[in-house]
Amino acid sequence: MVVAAQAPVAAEDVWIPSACSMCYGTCSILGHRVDGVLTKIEGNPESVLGKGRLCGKGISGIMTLYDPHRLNKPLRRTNPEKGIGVDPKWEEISWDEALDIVGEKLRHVRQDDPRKLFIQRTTTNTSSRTPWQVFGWAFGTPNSWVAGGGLHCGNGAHLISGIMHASWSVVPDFQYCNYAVYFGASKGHSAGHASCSNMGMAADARARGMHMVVVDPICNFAGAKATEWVPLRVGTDAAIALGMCHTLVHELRLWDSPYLKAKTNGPYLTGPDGRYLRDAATNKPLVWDTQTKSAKPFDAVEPEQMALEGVHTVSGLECPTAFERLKAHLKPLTPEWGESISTVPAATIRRLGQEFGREARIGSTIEVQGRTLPYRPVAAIAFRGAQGHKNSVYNFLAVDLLNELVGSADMVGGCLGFNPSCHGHPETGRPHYIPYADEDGLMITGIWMAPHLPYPMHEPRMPETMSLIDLYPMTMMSPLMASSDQEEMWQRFDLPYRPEVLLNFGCNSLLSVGNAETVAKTLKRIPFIISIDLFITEFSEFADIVLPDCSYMEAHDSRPNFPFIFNLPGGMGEWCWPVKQPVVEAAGERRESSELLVELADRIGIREDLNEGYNVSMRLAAPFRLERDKRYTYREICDMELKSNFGPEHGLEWFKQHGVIKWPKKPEEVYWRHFENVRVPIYWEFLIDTWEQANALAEPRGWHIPREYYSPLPSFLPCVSHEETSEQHDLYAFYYRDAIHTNSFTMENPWLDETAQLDPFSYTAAMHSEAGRRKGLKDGDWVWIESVKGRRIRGRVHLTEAIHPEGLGIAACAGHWTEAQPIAKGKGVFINDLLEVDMEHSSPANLNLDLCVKVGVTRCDGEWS
Amino acid sequence: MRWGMVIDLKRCIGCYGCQLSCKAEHGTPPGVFFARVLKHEEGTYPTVSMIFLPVLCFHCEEPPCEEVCPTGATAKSEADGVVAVDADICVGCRACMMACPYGARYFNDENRHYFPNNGATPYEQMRVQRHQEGVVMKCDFCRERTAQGKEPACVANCPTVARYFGDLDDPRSQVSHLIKERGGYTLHPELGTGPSVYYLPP
Amino acid sequence: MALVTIKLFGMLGAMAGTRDLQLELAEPAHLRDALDALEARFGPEFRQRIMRNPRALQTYLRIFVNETEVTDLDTVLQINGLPTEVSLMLLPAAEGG
Repeated sequence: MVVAAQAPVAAEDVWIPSACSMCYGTCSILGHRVDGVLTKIEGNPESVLGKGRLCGKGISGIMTLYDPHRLNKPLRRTNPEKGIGVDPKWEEISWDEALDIVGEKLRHVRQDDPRKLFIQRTTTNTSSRTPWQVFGWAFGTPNSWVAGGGLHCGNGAHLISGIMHASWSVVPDFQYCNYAVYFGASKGHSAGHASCSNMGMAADARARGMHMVVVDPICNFAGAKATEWVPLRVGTDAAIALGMCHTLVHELRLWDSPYLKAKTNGPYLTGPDGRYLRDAATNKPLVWDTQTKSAKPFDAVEPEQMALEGVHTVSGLECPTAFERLKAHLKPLTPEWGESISTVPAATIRRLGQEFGREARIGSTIEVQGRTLPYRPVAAIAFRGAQGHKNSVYNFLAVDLLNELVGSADMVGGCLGFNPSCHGHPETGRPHYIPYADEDGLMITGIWMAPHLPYPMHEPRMPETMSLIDLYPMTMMSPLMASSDQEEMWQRFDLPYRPEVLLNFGCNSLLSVGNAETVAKTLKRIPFIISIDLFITEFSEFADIVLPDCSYMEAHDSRPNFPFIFNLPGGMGEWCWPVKQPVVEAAGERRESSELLVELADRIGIREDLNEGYNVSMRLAAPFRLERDKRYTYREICDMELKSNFGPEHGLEWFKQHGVIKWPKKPEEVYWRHFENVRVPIYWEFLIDTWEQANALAEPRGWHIPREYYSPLPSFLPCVSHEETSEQHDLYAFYYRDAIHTNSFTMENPWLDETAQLDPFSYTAAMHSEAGRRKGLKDGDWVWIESVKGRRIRGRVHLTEAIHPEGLGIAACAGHWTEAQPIAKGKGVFINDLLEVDMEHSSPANLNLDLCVKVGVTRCDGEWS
Repeated sequence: MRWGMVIDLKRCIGCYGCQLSCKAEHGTPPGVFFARVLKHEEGTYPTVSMIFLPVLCFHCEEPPCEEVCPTGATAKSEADGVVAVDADICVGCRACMMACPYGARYFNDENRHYFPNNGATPYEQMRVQRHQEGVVMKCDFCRERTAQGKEPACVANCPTVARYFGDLDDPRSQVSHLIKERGGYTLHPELGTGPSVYYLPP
Repeated sequence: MALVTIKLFGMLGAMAGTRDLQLELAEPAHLRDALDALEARFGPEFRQRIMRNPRALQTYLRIFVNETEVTDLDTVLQINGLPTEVSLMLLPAAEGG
């Protein structure tokens, strides 16, 4: 027996407030540092973000900080050959040398054509958003993306949450909601925005008796906590949501008329071509005034006087209202139709529609902090699962129509955007943003995560970006940055340049986008690649220079949780602004990437642009605006932002001591929709023009943009997988987020890896027991999973009753092969390797990559079994 | 008094926060989990339910592990009901591991580390020195924390507030109240061990 | 005449090939006049980048007049005869994602 040594009394024993970055949820933490060593991470109970509690990933950050495989020195490739599994033959170089090389490359590209710089940045580290965006603006490149982040996250969800809720995502109003329907979403039950806060709030809601219906092909996480799990065929969410809408409108004739008149474009009159009827003098959309029986501009009639239904005769034309068009559109979309597509019994769809309508309590009010407000305690929410498909836009929009019909959008108990309206700290009035209306009365979000707003959409134009977002304005993220047909598309649309330098921050696009072969080919076309990262990854196999980054435990940021539309929990409670600060000193020669970008800007000669970019991005107000020609550290910029928002006494030092600043939310902010005079489109009239303009550019170049994706009203449109007819390929492989892993990044964390190994789902492909029996498989068998296109991965099956019989559910983003991450290597099932990355498998509306694949599964005998 | 825990299965979402906050608090070696989450499936498609079941040492009233311990290293505290191992007395015979029907005990043959080829991380160097080798280890309801008036790590950390800690002997305590109001139950009551950890139905 | 300093940042500067320029505008000068003058110098394509339609600026353009953000095209540029600086920063209309 070995006797434990007597622990000496610690010279230093402190708890340091900061922000987690094990996922983009960015919960507030306290790091316990004893004699310079991080010994524990706990939640910060002073903060609204997690309320002092953390998920398994947040706790395990210690093992990422101290991973001996972390990068410590700049590296230069000596092997010019690049490829999967090819050793770059790294040599260590000094920072001076690395910066000389990188600075020179970037200066040269900027002089030549700044658009030739391609930036990719991980979403996991939310703090990287502002420094990287601002650097891109200052440099002058429009080419940046978040690798798989967006494609596999909320391309459609963010667009539609932005247009319909002025926010990045939606949640049920957990404090008041009585009936929530989740379509492929896990809010409050796994990772994600405001993750730990939402976990607590969702648990309170369940304990309070909130009825939760989870429409999902797999019964894990949210499904497991559902009052009712509704398994569906993968990717058919719109068919169920539209069937429920049909029940509300045609079987129950139930909708919130005052809401639809005042808060949507439902009463707008439309002409025979589907466009709004407009006032000749003001160009404003017209509505039918029931008092004068005439058409008038929408802002010249009190909402209650507007006709919501009917076809009205204006200048001899028969003009249905937008709502009338929606009604007609829903007529054939019965629950029986929904069943034929989704496999969910019509009786179930009908009952869900009836329950949703009944529980909405249309017409009721409730008092919140002295304000009497509409009370609509039902919410239909969706996220990654429902919209991770070729039919991304309509799947999500169809779900949100449920909220619009019953008037529960951003009302008490309803479907809330995360914090779209903020009146600011009571002492300074900052930060301040409120949704506002455009000329058509439709809502523009008061704040967004990027300059590219979801609405108003820009006119489609000839592409200037690698992404083709110019041509496809509904896109938030585009697969063209790494698709097999990118060169073909660039040629077709005369992209006037090609990327020359790729600057990567923390992305591992080999794993996170789609099949590695396709991504590798796109990387090999880029002449010079710089990667700033915590580890050598599979992506590094294509990099020329690798620079060692500080992890979140070693870095600063003034705004880890801003904008509030991203991560602060929705609903009543408190506003909360935390900061990030180093809990331990950076080891090795690691440098904070935010500071590195300041240094690079100076070397390139864009200091003025960078400083002005920070003034714009952080909305810095005098006297805390950056002087253009002065050199600031990122820490100093953080200090300016905090003082600009919260007064000169609340700079970075104050926040480092106190951790967070908080102030109470008001009903006028949380339930802003009742107070602000803005409307949202239940009828996306603008898509008519968008398609015509896009098509006018595409058709002469031999490119077809299918019109059915641009109808103003949502339909169910099939994925490629739904149209596969091969009998051997009988299952829909899909992936979902595991609660214990964040993308590919955490696979190297040994605590999380060990936990995932013990979980029956994390590293397996979940298959229905009956499908397993049919194929002669036992639980735990090794199998080959093969796509119609002949791509093949291997993994172990987990036979379960908790999945749709046609589904093959795979968790997380596994597939590491690099020796540099020995914990991660070989773990899990590399489902992304089955994904095609091309236009055929992307939405013709918002370029969302389809994440479901029709596969065949066969036992894999021999070496693996 | 008797320390006890109530775990609300309706609130738990299987995030593994308890399993890992316990690991972080105690710096347990690979393979050792004083607190764990099990996933358990019931029923047939489509009326299936997935249960997330957090488990730990149940600090039984009649602990079978205590009865079989030849040295008295495993003992139930009369002061607070906590079943703990005195590592200085344990000889590592592992009879207690065989006796525990809940699999809540682990043998620490040697202090292994999480990066097997790279030695102990600075964190492990600090934490691992707490653990003696060649002895049995287990949950002690975070005795160091409760001595300071804190809740056990798994309770304080749970993001869904699914875990409650208190005095089962006190009928006015939150844990007693929850067990009574919500029909709290123990696992395998037929074994007669009298667990101090109760579950509330999902 | 009103003398107005124009600063073009980021992409606009890269497009125009310069960051700093000066405009002489007839008084009273408005923001609209400055943008007209920029169009005259850099062409209609430049204007398309900054105007969504004849009445509205692009949502991704930020304009500051003497460090105060403005969105109104009728903003008066010459204030008490003091030198005026108009800075424009065009953020990417569309990012890769």
